[in-house]
This record gives sequence, C-alpha cells and structure tokens, in this order.
Amino acid sequence: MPSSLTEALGWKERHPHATVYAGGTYLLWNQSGRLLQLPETILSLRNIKELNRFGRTESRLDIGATVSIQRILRAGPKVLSPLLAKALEGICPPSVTSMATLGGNLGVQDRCMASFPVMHVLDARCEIRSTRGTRWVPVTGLRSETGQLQLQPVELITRIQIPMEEWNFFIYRRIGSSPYGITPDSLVIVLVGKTYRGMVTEFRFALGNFSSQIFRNRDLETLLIGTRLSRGKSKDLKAFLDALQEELQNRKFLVTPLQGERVLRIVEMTLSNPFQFP
Amino acid sequence: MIITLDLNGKEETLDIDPSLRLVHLLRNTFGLLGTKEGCLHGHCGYCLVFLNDQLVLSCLTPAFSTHRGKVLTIEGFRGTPEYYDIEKGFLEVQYTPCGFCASARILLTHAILQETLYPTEQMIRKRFTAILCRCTDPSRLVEGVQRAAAIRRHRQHAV
Repeated sequence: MPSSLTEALGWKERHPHATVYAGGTYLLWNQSGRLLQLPETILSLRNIKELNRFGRTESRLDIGATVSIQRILRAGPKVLSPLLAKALEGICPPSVTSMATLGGNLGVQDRCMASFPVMHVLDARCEIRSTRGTRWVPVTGLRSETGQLQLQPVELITRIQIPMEEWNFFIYRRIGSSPYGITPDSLVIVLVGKTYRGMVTEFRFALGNFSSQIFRNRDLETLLIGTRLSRGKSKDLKAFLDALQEELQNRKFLVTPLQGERVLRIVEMTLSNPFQFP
Repeated sequence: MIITLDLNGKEETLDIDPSLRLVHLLRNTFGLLGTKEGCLHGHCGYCLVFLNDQLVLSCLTPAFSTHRGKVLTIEGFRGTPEYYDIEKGFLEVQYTPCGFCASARILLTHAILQETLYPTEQMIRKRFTAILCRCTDPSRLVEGVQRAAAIRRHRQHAV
C-alpha cells in the first residue's frame, strides 16, 4: 500500500500485472461469498494524496484518478456541466459513488461505457505515468477501434483533465435493461451542441456500447454545423439521420437494428424541437 | 497481513486475512454489531460506516484498505453531540427506522449534515436511495433529517 506516487509507480514496474485498487467497486462488486475473491497481487492507490486532488481552472477541470465520483458530483452545477453530472451519475448506483472513481471507470477494460463517450465529445485527456515518464493522451487514444484499453501494464492513469465549455444543448441517454450494469443491450448516446441565433455552430455526437467501442464520425457532425434547426424534420436533419443510419449499418460498431432505430429516433426528437434551445 | 487502524478513536493493530470484508472485521473480530450485514453486494446500504470521513459500504471494502485509516461506526458515533442532534430530530417527528437500517440512516444523515445544514427534500430523497429499506414513510424521513439539521444549527449557533 504505497503512500506516494513514486512508490506506486515503482511497484507497478516491478509487478506489472498487479491489479490496481482505488475504489474497489470493479474488483468487489457482486461478490457474494463471505470471503472476498481477490487477485494474487493488489496495488492499492487509496493512500496516495497526489492522486486524490480535485481542482479547476478557468478553462478545465483537473481530476485525480482516485477522486471519488461523489466528490466530483458535490462540486455542484456551478462547476460541473449537467452533461458531465449525468454521465457520472450513470457510472454506478448512489450507494457506491463514495467509492467509485473516474480513473477506475476509464481504466478498466469493460466498465467505461457510461463515461467514455462523454469524455470523448468533451475532448478530455488523461495523464498516464510510469517510471519511464509521463504522457498526456486524449481520451480518444485510450481505446482502440475495437474497444481495447491502450495502456501498458506498467502505466497508471493519474489525472483526467476535462475542458469546461458552455453547451447550449445536450443529450445523455442510456438505453438497455440494466441502469448501471453493462449488458449486451446497453448503449449510451451523447450529443452536445452550440447554437447562435438559431444556427448550429458546433455539434458533437458519440455512441458507446457494451464492449467499450466508441462510434464517432466528425464528417457526420459537420452535416449539421451551419444549419438552422427548425421544428420538425428539416432537410439537413434528414440528411444527417440518413447518413447516420448508413454509418451504423456499415461500420464495425456493434449495435443491433433495434438499438440503431432507437438512436435515430432519440436524435430526431431532440433536434427537431429547437425551441428548447436558446 | 498486519494492519493498524483508528477504530472509533482507538488505535488497533491486528493480523487479518486479506480477503476479509470490513463488515465482518467489525462484527466478528471487534464485536461491533451496530453495522449490519445485509446483501453483501453493495445494494442494501445497511453496512454503511465512515472510513477516513467518507461513508463507504463496509461489505465492499476489504479490511486491509483500513490500514492507516480511520473507521467510525455507529458505536463510536453514539454519545457525540452530533448523534444527539439526529436522535432528537428523528424523535420529534416520530421517525423510527427499523433495527436493520437505523445505524446506516443515522450515519448517512450525519454525512448529509456535514455537507450542508440546510438539506433540501430533493437532496435527502436522492441520498437516501443508497439504503433500500422500506420500513418507514419517506416523507417522515425528510422531516426528521431537516429537524435534525435545525437542531444542529441551533446548537452550533448557541456555542
């Protein structure tokens, strides 16, 4: 149980396959035995103050990897955007928010569906450290196209930085049979945008599925930029939805026909009611 | 493995099995039965305790993670002025949680009052979704927590 980051990185170098323990929710969730089934080697990061810092500047949020979800949520609406708050609330049930961490959610192979698409559209980045050095990677670089975590065994995620921007509209919608568990029918839809006098000036759209894959297509997003949204299904919105439908059918992103249909309907319903936007 | 922890204000050092849950350490090793063992899955919320001033589910907390930490259970909280604020607040509105969830509800109330002495109904209802027990009327719970907050404000103002 190291008490400094340097010590922890040294341990990780010597024991690259040690399981990292921050909040412990992934490790211990749904274990019903009286004694816990634990991996052979565990590296606990709970006592490391450097990883437990949470702060903000004018332009971004700086979140240590072991800061609990509850602590981030308590920053309140003046600090946290509603989109980010919704995504964090979707990571785990309220009873474990004091234990679960954002670093843990991003760093575990198959649990990042709730937060990863939002980090993606917000252009968040992660500080990754090892005894060999430090690197900053955009969250987009944390996963391969097939959803595999791109982290070396000797590396640790230490910080997450999220730019603070004002968005005029957003959706965060999670569909599937389980509100917190990740099942094959789970899907997250994220959409954010800015408008100026009724015209879309910026638009970002991402989907996340149960196998930690991300769908995001910047060419598709540009179809709506510069357009004026109107009540009902405009020509531009129809073009966007048709292109999205074709992408979902052609790409390797795993989505069932029913999920694809729901995505299209949710996006259509949101963007065809622009009177909710300033 | 040997761990040292501050348990209810008293330093304890002992040798434990690393796979032991904190709830079992508290109940079986230390005989502190105020922390209840419910689902062992992190769903019911009966096992809430304070670890390093954060409320955690002791069924999902390995005992080894308390090393060099501070644990506060209902037994340690009882007898403090903050406990009496909550007890009095609950009694005045006749809010009586059952034996399974009372400890957890009191500690959760204390956690809320540490955050704010003006808890809103929405905040209270949201935070108490962490405890699944349906033994009492939720609106009585809200009144109880808000009454406890008022008592604590009055006591702190008087000091």
